[in-house]
This record gives sequence, C-alpha cells and structure tokens, in this order.
Amino acid sequence: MIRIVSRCLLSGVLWSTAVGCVSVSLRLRGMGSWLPEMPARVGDWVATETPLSLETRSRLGNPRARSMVYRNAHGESVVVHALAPKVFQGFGELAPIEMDYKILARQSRPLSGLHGAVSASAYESIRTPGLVLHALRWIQTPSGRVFPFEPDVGSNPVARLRRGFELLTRDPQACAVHVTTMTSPDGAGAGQVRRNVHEIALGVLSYASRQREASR
Amino acid sequence: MSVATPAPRTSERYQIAWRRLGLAMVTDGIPFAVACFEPIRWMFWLWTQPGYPTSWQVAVPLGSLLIAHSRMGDAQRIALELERLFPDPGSPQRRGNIALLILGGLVLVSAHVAVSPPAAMVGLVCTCAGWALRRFGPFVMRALVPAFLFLLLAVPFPHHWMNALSGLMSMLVNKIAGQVLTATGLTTQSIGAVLYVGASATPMFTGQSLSGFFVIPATMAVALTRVLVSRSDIRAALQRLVLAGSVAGVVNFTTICLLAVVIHRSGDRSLLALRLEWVTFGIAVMISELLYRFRSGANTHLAGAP
Repeated sequence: MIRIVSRCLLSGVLWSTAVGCVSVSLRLRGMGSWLPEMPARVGDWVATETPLSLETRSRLGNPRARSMVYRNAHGESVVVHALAPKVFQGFGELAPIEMDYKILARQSRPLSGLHGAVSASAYESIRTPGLVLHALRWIQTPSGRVFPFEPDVGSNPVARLRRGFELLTRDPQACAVHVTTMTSPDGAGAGQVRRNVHEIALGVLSYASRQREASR
Repeated sequence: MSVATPAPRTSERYQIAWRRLGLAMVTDGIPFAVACFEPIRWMFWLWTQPGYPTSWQVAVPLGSLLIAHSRMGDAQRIALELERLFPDPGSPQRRGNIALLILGGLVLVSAHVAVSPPAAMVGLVCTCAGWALRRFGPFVMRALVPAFLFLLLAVPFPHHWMNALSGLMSMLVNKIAGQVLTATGLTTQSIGAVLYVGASATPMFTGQSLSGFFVIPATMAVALTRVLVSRSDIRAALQRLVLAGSVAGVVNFTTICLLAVVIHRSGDRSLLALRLEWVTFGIAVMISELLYRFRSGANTHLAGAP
C-alpha cells in the first residue's frame, strides 16, 4: 500500500510538472501576434512611418514592429516604436539606447486618463554629454491594459519571470511601446520636450482605445 | 508444510518485464518527456546556432551518460545490498525525499514562464536527480551524483555574461597572438578584440571563433569526463585538467598564429571565414590525451624501477 502511494506521489509530481509546462507553453504561443494601430495625426503633429533599424530588430529577436516619427510645425519630433516581441529580449531596451546612453533617472508613474502606469526614463548620451533622451514606455495589451516597462527584462531573471507571469495572467499578445525624444545639449526646452512626449503618448493610447470602441 | 511457488517461465518473465516497463512509461516516462520537450528544443536551437561560443555543451549529456554507465555496477550492487538489508521498499534507505523532485518541477515550470534556457536546464537536472533520489534512495543516488553534477555543465551561460567573457578572452588572445607574431618579425596592431597584421587596414581577426572560449573549456570538459569515468584521485584529476587546459590554450594560440601567417602570406582573406574551433578542439584533445598517457606511462615506469 505504502509502495503504491509513494509511486502515485512520484507520478503525480511528474504529471503536474508536465501539465504546468505544456499549459504555460501553449498560453505564451500567442506572443508577438498583435500590434496597435498608430494615429496619422495627434493634434498638430503629423506622423511619418519609418522602419526600425535592422540592427535593433535583430538585437530584439526580430519582432514585428511599427515605427512612426511625429513632427510639428516648430520642427520638433517625437519617435514612437511599437514592438510585438516573440522573445523576452524584445521587451527590453532598444539597441541604440542600450549602447549609446547611460541612465539618468527612471520611475513608473500613472499617465492622466490611463488605467495603469507607464515607465518614464531619462538618459544622457555617452558621446555627446548634455544630450538627454526622454522616454515614456509601456506594455500594452489588445484589451487596453497598460503596465510598466522593464528595460532589463533580457538580462534580469527576476524581471523576466515577473514579465512572463504578467503576460500569462493578463494577455500574452502584449506589445511594447517606446515614445522617445531628445533635448539639446544646452538643456533648453526640457519641460516642453517632456510635454511633447506626454502629448504623443496620450494620443497613441487614446487612438488605440477609440479603435477598440469602434471595433466593438 | 510450505509449498514453494514455482518460478515463472521465461515468457512470463518477459511479460512481467514489459508490463512494468509500460507502467513506468505511463507514470514517469511520458510526463518527463512532455515536461522536458521545450527545454531540450531551446537547448538544441542554442547549441546549433552558427558561431554559438559554447556549442560544445551539446556533448555534455553524452559525457554524463558515460559517467553514469561507469558507475552503474556500483549502483546495482548497492541496490541489491539495500534490498537484502531493508526488505521494506518504503524504508528511507530505499526511497529518498521527494523535495528535490518538487523543486525541479517548480524550476522547470518557472523556466517556461520566463522562457529561460539556463533555468530550464537547471530544472531538468534537478528533476532527473530528484526522480532518481526518490525512486532508488540516497545510497544509490550517491553513486550517481558525479553524473548529475557533470550534467550541470550543459547549463548555458546567461547571454550577457557570455558576451562579456568571450569579448574579454578575444581581447586577451589577440594581444598575446599579436605579441607572438611581432616576435616573428610581422608588423601587428591589436585594437580591442581586433588584430591587424601587416600594413593592411583590414582586420585580420575578430578573435571570436578562436578566442579560446570554446576550445579551452571543451577540452577540459573531455578531461573531466575521463577523470570521472576512470575515478582518478584528486591529484591525478587536477594534473589532467591543468594539462588539458594548457594544451588547449597552446593549440588555440598556435592555430591563430599559423592562420594569421598563412593569410598574410597568401593574401586570401576568405580564410578569415573559416570556423576552426572544432578542428582545434579535436587536435587539443588528441595531444592532451597522448601527453597524459606518455606522462603516466613514464610515471609507471619510474614506479616500477628498482
């Protein structure tokens, strides 16, 4: 009797592991299959589609990507990259930021009118001191949920596990959105640059929610 | 008066053995194969990537099997002895703790969640070891521990560590190869991980394929397998490992220097695309084995001398 119970326990643990592994694999199979639509205009900003560089794409595991540059009448520009990664590296830092910039500050904060937090970061260029890159990033699901971006998800096992768990419990079709722009080395207009990034981020998110409403 | 049970006939014995095997496949084999399918697929994908710095890890499971096979006699002898001393199959001497198996299962599922090949490989080793511990008990397991520890060599290095380490080794190897080539009268310049030979501005080596990151650990892993299979003592094992590492290093540098000289003389830069790490590894293994045999032969001769 003891032998049978012991055998069942052993087999039970092995079968539970197998079922767990298969269900996780099946659930995460939907990764990289969805990208949000981008607005052609946000206020007086006009979008131009530009392809993501091949190097960045290959470093991020060749995700599906949509990249837009928004320009206004004052000559200012904000870049938006939406990436649908098939591997976890795709949820990490963009290659030029990883190689050419050092982090100055990073925080997660709610964006007005949004359920969920986005990650706000500032980086200084290594080659041109004083040149600061501002970025607002988030992970977005087709159902409109937003959760913070973790730049070290490719290298930090705990962040990777957390991201995997979030994808499992929320939606594996999530994509990463990066909204970035730069201030000049003299630091002039930093406040305006941050407002620009906010405006475009809100424009992209509200366009996605309008599209969702329309498709219902 | 007791009546002796007649021994089962050969055909019945086969039937019983097949039935047991079938049951073991359903209870243990199938779930294990299902749980390990994705990690093994990831590993093979990684190991077969062109230019993957540690693709020698593909041979580690084979080495582990060789080590386990060399210790199977001991494991069987211990199992029979335990069966005689402790007839109860549920006794703690014959049935180990299940905690390691549960831990292995948790790590394996977490590795699936994080899509992490290193964690998956650790989970795989823990699950195998936990199963063996539970099924055969701690005493039999002790005989098989070296095989499971060796299997840990198949755990892939995290990507960023590997990039940093292989970059560092490329730089080191290029610096030394540059100095060797300068000593032979060639003009060289070593900038970072790139070696320039002659007056040409085209880089001669990026140092990735022959950085030593592949050849040295691979040759040492072969030496470690030989040490564990032959059960050498610590001193002999260390000697063998140091010898293998040194020979691999020397063969690697020699290959780089020879290739640089050949390319410099012939001017054929297409030779730069050659991937010579497996050839270099084969030569390093052969030389280190011959040297070890020669050395141990000499020692035996001395030991036998009056």
